[in-house]
Amino acid sequence: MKSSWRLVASSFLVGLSAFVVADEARALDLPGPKGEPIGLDVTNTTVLDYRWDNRNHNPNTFNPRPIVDDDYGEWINRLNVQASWWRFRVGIRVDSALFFLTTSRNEAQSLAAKQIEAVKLRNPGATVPEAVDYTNRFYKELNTRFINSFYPAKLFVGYNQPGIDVTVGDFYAQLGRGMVLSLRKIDELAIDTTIRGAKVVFDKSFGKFRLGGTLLAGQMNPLRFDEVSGRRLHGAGSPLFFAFPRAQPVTTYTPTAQPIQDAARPNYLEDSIIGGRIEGGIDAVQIAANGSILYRKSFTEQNLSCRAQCDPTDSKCVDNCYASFPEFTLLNGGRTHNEIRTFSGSVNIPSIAGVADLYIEAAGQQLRQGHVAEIDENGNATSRAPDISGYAIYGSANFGKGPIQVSLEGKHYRRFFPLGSNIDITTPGHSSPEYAVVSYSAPPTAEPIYVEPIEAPNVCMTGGRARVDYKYDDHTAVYGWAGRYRSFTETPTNELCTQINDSRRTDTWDTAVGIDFSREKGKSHARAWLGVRMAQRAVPTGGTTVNGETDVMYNEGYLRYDFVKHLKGPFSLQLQGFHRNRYLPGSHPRPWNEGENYTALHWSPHLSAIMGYEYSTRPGCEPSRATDDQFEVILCHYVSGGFTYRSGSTEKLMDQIFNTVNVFVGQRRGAIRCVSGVCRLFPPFEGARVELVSRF
Amino acid sequence: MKSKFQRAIHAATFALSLAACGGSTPGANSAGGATAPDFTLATLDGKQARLSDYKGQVVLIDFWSTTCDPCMIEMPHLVELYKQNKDKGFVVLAVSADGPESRAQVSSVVRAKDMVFPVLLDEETVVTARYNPKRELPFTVVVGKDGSIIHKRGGYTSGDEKTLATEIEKALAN
Repeated sequence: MKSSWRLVASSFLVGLSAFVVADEARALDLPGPKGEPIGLDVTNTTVLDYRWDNRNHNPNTFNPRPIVDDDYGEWINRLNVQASWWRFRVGIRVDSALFFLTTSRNEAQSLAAKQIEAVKLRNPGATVPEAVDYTNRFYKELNTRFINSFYPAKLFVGYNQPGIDVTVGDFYAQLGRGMVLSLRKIDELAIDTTIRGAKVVFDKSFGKFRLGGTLLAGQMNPLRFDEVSGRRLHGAGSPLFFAFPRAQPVTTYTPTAQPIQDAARPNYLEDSIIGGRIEGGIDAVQIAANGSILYRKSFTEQNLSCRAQCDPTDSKCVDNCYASFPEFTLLNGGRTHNEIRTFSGSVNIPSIAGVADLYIEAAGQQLRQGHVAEIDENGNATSRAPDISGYAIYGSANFGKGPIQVSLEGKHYRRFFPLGSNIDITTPGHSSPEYAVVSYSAPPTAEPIYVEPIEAPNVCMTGGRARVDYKYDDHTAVYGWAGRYRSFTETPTNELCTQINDSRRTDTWDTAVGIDFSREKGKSHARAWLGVRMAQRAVPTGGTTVNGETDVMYNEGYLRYDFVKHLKGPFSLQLQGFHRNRYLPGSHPRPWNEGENYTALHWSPHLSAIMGYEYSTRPGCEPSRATDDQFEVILCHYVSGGFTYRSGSTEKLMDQIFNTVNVFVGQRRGAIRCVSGVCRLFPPFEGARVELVSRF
Repeated sequence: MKSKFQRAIHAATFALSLAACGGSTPGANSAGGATAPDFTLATLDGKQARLSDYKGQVVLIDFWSTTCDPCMIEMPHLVELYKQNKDKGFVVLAVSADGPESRAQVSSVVRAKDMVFPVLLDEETVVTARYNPKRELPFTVVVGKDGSIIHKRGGYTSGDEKTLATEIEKALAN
């Protein structure tokens, strides 16, 4: 491993030094055949960070996860090289991760002993695990985290000419409005899943009539390491993914210090997909049909057969079965079936008399080849999860006349599941829980993008939203929206939407009003909106920690804002943030407040200095300060500072190397962050982070 | 296998570095920038737009989304820039990176912001990934009359519109 890292580092340094010694900046064009230059585009993103104690550890529990995520550093690098010549293009992205000062196995031993001692000291009567068991938990946690990695994350070759575009390798894809398939780049959430295979897009006009289509096939290719957690994903092996990271065995110990080696076990199975789209119409009306079939890679029958041969007390034999034939604890909802067919038809009217537009899509879904629960002596399935069928209807319309814009969205989904990824998020020592959000489709939510989902609200839902914007003058606009949703899958244990009745029903109002105005020729600007979200249960029920019954599922009131004041010349001051009051009685005993404000001084076009303050009174925001009184309000503070430098140009060499530099030092609270309708949980961060983006 | 692959990467990086060290390249276009890869995207009004259709004009490709606050603040300045220069051979292609959750808002925003230039839809993020691998928003690419990339910039802060206007003037003068 060391020599491979020397190789990587020397490659990087040789490359960097060559750029530095170049006497002048120049485009990375190379001479190509037939006098046509080969255009090169190189973007390199390097992140170097060091994290100290992020205050998420509860000193009375024995979970190693919030302990090992303190006091370590990482260097993440993503080198993206694309070349184009004539109608061809080729690209590669090499991802690497180097972790340093992470918890070693020796340190794990002493951390475990120290934690047990500390708990005993505070509470002599407390039940504590055996030191060896607790240490084993650390070893298992570390088995999929902080592993140095270097692999070709994305590769492609493409050809483009008027009317046809072919890609072989990695590509993004979307069919319909995300209902049938949606694999998009969402860097903000560290989600960058592509399909590795082949995609053909064609388009042909016959007078005013246009016919277009897409055909695609391949295997899913999510990122193999997660920058946020340092967790790594290990596939079961596929010829398409050569030189990708592989799983490694984990060694634990018995109470008599005898080593036990669990065989390496993948935590990701490479699902395959075929899909397509055909679209026809004139400029005024377009009709499309989309379809995809997702084939899950599954070893369930082989796993059951293998385990049937084992003596139940022979854990080694059972372990080998799981290593050879990986089998995960499957979460409900689209993950319990090995063949998922999704199809849709849509009508798009992009312009109605120049003042309106309309889009309607109806989709169906068939979940087949259910998860096998039992097999007979010949290895054939005798019991499977039953087939499920569902459907979804989505529509949107816009109307604009003079100063008024009206936007309408509606949806009606029944047992319509997002195409969840085939990733182990539960098995200790092998799982990658941070990847639970990876999904291959994204049915539209018709809600503000920062709304955090409770359970799986979109599987069984009916609702809509209306938004009205009124432009008072060229510099001032006001707007408001109101949404009403009825869901049957926001309550636990109904993920498959087996019950559509009042006992599972939740009703939600989501409303907001806002203002947007600018002054000084747009140099100063203010946007602010005030909103409320209220979700109620149709039948009141008891919360987990609140006495008595309540019909409140979730309540929130919030203010979000973004103010920019031009000061003088190139200087401006920006305040951006939000403040929320939230209440989720199903899991929290009391309402809480949380918010953030970032103040930035901009010196256009290059420099921004930023000061941040975040706070939270969410129960458990800092577990070490929690008391037995669960209603006690504890305020957690998070302070940070940093700057951003943007060269704003690619003319000079140094501008290319230091195209964007972000420096952050301080704290950020742990929170679910939502981007583009996808949400993931970010743990709290305390440390220093430098990001350098180089563009050539 | 692994080391062979790593050596290949090493060699490729080294070759790339040598290319960067060299003098002027015979194949490079006059503006000195890499050739902008061609692409075709659907437009908001149901047509298809192809970058190469605008060859001979200065093209500003603006990657934006309805959910990106700085994009919304920058947009009136782009509209202004377009109105001032459209008769001089300048066009703005506003590439929306909105996905399923916010795609429905695009036409309302386009009308509200008076975006009179072509608005392209990159729901798959295919073109975004090609030009803007880090998916920064807003992200601006200026393509010269000869089809070469002459300017790339990520982000927007108040005052950046001045820098952009200077870049466009320079590109139009070439």
